[in-house]
Amino acid sequence: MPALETVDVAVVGAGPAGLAAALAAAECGLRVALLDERSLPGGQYLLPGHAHGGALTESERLGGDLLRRLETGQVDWRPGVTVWNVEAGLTLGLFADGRATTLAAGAIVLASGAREQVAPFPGWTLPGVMTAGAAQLLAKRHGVLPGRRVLVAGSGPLLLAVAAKLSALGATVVAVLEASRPAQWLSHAPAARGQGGRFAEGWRYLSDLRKARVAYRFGSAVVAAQGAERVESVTVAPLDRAGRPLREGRSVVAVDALCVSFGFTPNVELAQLAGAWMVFDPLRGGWAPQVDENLESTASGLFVAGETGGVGGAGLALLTGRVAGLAAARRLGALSQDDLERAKAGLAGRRKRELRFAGMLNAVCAPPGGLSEIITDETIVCRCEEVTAGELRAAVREAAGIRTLDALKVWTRIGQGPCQGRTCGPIAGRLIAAEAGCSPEAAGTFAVRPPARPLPLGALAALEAAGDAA
Amino acid sequence: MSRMPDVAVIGAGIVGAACAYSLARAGLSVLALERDFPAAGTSRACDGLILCCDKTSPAELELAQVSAGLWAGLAEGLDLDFEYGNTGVIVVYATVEGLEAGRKQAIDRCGCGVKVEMLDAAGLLALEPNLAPDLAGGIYYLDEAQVDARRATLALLQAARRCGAELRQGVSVTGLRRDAGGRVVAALTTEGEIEAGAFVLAAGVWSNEIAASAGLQLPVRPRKGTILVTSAAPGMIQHPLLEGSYAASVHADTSAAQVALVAEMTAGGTLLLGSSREFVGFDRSVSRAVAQAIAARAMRYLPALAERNVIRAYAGLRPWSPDHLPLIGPVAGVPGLYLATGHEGAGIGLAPVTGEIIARWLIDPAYGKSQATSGLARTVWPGRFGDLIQDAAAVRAAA
Ligand SMILES: Cc1cc2nc3c(=O)[nH]c(=O)nc-3n(C[C@H](O)[C@H](O)[C@H](O)COP(=O)(O)OP(=O)(O)OC[C@H]3O[C@@H](n4cnc5c(N)ncnc54)[C@H](O)[C@@H]3O)c2cc1C
Ligand SMILES: Cc1cc2nc3c(=O)[nH]c(=O)nc-3n(C[C@H](O)[C@H](O)[C@H](O)COP(=O)(O)OP(=O)(O)OC[C@H]3O[C@@H](n4cnc5c(N)ncnc54)[C@H](O)[C@@H]3O)c2cc1C
Repeated sequence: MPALETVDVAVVGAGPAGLAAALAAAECGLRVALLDERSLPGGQYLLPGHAHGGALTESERLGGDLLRRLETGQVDWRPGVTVWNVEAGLTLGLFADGRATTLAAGAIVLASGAREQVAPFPGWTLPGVMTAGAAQLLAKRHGVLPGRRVLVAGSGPLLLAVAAKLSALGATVVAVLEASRPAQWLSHAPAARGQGGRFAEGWRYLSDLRKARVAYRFGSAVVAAQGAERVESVTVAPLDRAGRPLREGRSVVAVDALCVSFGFTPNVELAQLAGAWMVFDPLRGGWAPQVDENLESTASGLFVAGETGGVGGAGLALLTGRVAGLAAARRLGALSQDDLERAKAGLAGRRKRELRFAGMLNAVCAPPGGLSEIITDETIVCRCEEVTAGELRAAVREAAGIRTLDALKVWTRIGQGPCQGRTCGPIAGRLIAAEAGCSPEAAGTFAVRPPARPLPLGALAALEAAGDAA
Repeated sequence: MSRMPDVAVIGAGIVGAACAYSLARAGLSVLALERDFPAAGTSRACDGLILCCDKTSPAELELAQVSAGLWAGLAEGLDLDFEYGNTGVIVVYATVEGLEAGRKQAIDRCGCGVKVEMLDAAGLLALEPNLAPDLAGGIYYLDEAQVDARRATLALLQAARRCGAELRQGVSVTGLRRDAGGRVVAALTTEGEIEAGAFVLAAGVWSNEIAASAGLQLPVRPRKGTILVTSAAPGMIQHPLLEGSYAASVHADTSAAQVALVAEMTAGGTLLLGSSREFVGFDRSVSRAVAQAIAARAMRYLPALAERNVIRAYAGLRPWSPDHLPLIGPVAGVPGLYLATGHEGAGIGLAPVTGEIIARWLIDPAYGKSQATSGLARTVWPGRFGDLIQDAAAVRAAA
């Protein structure tokens, strides 16, 4: 048997949550490995150049502190490592530099973040159509604009941030279309208490946009994109209360790029691999692992931090990361129960406020169910395998009993390409729900089996040998 | 279906689907009962090869040949395309000794009408340039075919329904009820009792628990198989490939995991790399060690795959039977019950012939006894395992 490499705590993901978890566990004197497939720590939030001109937000300041502490070497920081397996016995499968290895841990903290949600419409696969997050990344990292005349649409605060950034870099932002309505936000008003900083940030974006004469419209969405080689124009429609696009009041807008996104949904594949029980919770952004008050999943020793446990922004990620790191230390006996409880109590108030606010964002920003109507039968839902909405609908009708993504996979090739349904899973879930008259929850998730990330066959074949050498 | 059906088929995997189709086409009224959805069991977690090259006895070979002929007809006749292709299969050998042994068996099979072409090392590479250059040679079985097992299941079911069969999904059979005469008259299900003139038990590896409710003990056990799926690799192989030791791995009934390479390309261009054989109960998870072993076999034969990504893996449970032949037909002492299970690693290939045998039994109860059947029905007759009634008291109690 090859010697298995062992650490006390393995943290997957070096975003705000992973950083906080790793450093908290290291504070307790544990040997901690922090793994991320990216080459830089910070995750989606603490990107170099993230700060918009002015002052740092509190999360950015706190995150910056963590990044500096990482440099002191308390934590074994391993960039460029992709995690492709998590076994219930707390062994990870890693891939880095062309080699697959395993790493056994006394506790694992999953902090693999969340991904953007999209809602397809005819033309969404045209070049020039991208997610708002992708546009943001292009702009921030590489100073590249998605186009010169850009429409930003979908829901949630990211739209504002992206529009402001693109506008500042010189793009003409034709409009920002927010699918939700002010009334929806007002009904959640109590959740916004204590979030002055966030509103100030939003306000700053809005006023920047107003100066740039960018229209901001509630209750409307893109229902189609047109173009020969790439997007040339988009059709915009007002939505009714259920999010169904109306016939009247539509307009066609000339653009050369379109940025869309509807909030985020947790990256839960690794938790599923470990056998953790999943729950569907719209307030957390969709499917998320069930956790106890110490953020331990139902897979013993597997803790969940940050947006993997529920979409909630960088502030909540920092808080849950710290709790998960300390709870992992408690499991390994490096922290007393009293100390853990004290630490948790100190963070409880802020955690609760952040959770409430996150719940509001997730509830309001989820893709409106009514939008499924605009998905014509020709629209591709699974981009990897080019499965159309028509094929999925036909399967639901023909099979007169298909209610699950799992069953759809037997009838069509959905979710069987390189991305393994990460993008199309939630979309197809909503489509089934609309078609079969059930909830997206009933549609379930695709089954996840190793490798959770594409892994070169040669590396998998050499797995034992790689372990030997380590 | 308003009146009681002539026959209820329990399980809508490929075997149940084929039975429903043959029965409905023979004019019987058919009700198929499926716990989850069609192909939810093993028929979605397998390869789709229709093989003669791994059959070791003339009786088994005959069964496979009849079924292969039926598949060719179904490919023409059914409406739903199930990606039937008959490019043949190449069995590849790493050693000269292995190749020699393989040739002897191939020559025996030729005597039964199987078409083969012997390939030396150069001939093998000419047909499959991406194979490792140091192999001894291969045997090209020209008539072998492949299907997409899931779509084939759906195609059979769709055809069955067009002949009037009814499919009820999400209905789990929890037991069988027998009348005073011992006849199976109803299925106990999660949706209440369902009566039928006869019952075909086609629930794959899950048949045992249902049979047990009628006091029967079937010798079927789950034998797990794992498959790795690569990203699209167009042109990587021209034919499905089998490692020479494949047949031996089928017949090695040890509990240790057996791994022999099976490489098949789907219509979508992804490669299915299998497969393993292990007895680990009903566990369908993919184990790291087995995945690695399959990858290593694949690398030995197709080193060009080194940089190809594995994007997915899955495992299915073959319904193993002690003599590697299915159990198809009536059960002595239990009128009204017909078995169609135990197909192990050949259920895709053998599904159509299973349906035909079952249909003949139901139309003509004397079928198995008649001389004219040339032994097909007898080869797979469940009675070859002796008395399957394990618990006579339970049988009486059930009645
Ligand atoms: C464009 C954009 C703008 C945003 N703006 C704001 C804002 O203004 N204010 C705010 O509060 N929030 C904002 N957010 C949200 C914020 O980024 C997240 O809330 C925060 O990053 C969540 O932290 P996390 O640690 O949970 O996950 P992430 O920061 O997403 O980190 C997860 C890490 O896990 C790694 N990872 C995932 N899977 C694997 C794997 N299998 N193997 C190895 N590594 C893996 C990823 O590479 C990533 O580095 C924004 C998000 C985006 C995309
Ligand atoms: C890795 C692997 C590779 C394979 N490759 C090949 C190959 O290349 N060629 C080949 O011919 N064969 C192959 N096989 C074998 C083949 O897959 C099986 O023999 C075949 O699928 C068995 O079909 P079935 O219909 O008997 O069982 P299943 O497909 O398992 O169908 C049984 C059905 O019964 C249902 N059911 C279970 N319990 C109940 C209940 N209580 N009530 C109602 N319904 C119930 C299940 O949901 C299921 O749908 C392979 C198998 C594996 C695992």
